Amino acid sequence: MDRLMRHFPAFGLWLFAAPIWAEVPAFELVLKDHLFYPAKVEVPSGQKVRLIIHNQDDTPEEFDSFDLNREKVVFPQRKATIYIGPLKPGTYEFFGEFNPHTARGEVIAVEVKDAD
Amino acid sequence: MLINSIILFLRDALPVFVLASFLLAWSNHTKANHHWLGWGTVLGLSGALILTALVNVISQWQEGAGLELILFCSQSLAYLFLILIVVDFCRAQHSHPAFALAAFAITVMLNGANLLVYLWGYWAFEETPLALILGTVMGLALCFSLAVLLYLAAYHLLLNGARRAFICLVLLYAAGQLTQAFTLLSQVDLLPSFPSLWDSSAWISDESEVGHLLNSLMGYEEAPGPLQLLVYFLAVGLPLLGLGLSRQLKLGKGRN
Repeated sequence: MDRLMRHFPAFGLWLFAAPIWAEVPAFELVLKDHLFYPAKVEVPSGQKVRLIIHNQDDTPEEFDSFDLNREKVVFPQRKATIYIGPLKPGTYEFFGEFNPHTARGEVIAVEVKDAD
Repeated sequence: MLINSIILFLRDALPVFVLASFLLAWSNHTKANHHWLGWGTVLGLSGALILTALVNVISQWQEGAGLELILFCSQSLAYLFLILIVVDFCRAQHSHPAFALAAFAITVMLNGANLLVYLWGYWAFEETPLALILGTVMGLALCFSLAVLLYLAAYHLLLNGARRAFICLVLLYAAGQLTQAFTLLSQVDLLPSFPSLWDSSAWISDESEVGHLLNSLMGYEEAPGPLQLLVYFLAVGLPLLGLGLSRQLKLGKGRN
């Protein structure tokens, strides 16, 4: 939302109230030979996180997840960022829409307990 | 590859066929010309080709949110044109074919671009296109069959005077497409995300054939969030409210 307010102030004003900006934890996924590395990503539940997908293949791929309700094309040798969550604890499958038999993985949302 | 191509067609091409069915039923019922179909297809495919050629650059705009913004704006425009068709249809029993042309061309462009990216990736690096060709033909045949059934149902509604039911179908379709565009803004952090309100995947999964069909027809999601629901109900409800109020005003003037 911070980016919306910076680039499209008028749009941001009328559309929705801005949530408080906070640092969003990032997790990186690499797509190589139509496989996701790592295939399982643990993220904290109950908060928004960033997934950075780096497509190291020579073909485009669409990161897709029915569980996360996300879809984004990632071009060859490019990175794409998507925001997910806040998620309830559990497992959320994702896959590459163009190679769904090989490019598969899971986001696992886990509860984070306070250190104290 | 074969199954994957069919599924891709169901997801990306079916919304185009659904819209074509509704608009054909409307234009046959109102005796409007069908130029919107040909020109909409040509303009939409040209737009899809341009979008595909530029999509790599566009996706880097606005810190990686460029494509989502373009898709959101285009889908919002398509929604507005569909609402104009509905309003015109209610007020004057006919609609301007230019609205149909615009809505159809935008829908072809948005859905066609995704298919072209997939086809480009496959043709560029694979040597055996048979599965892709078969999948494309089967996917098209499936979409066409569903579109014919839908057209007959929609035309039957109009012939029997069930215009309100037809309008509701068009509004549900338009709202479903618009809601998906709002979801795109959430994934690039331009709108807040919220936990889903329920999960109906045990009954109808998004991945199932029925899920794909309902998604194209009325934007079905197995686990919608509150923002999606709000947008959906406003996108259906506000035009209906506006049409209802305008009808009341007309009746009031008639009595006076």
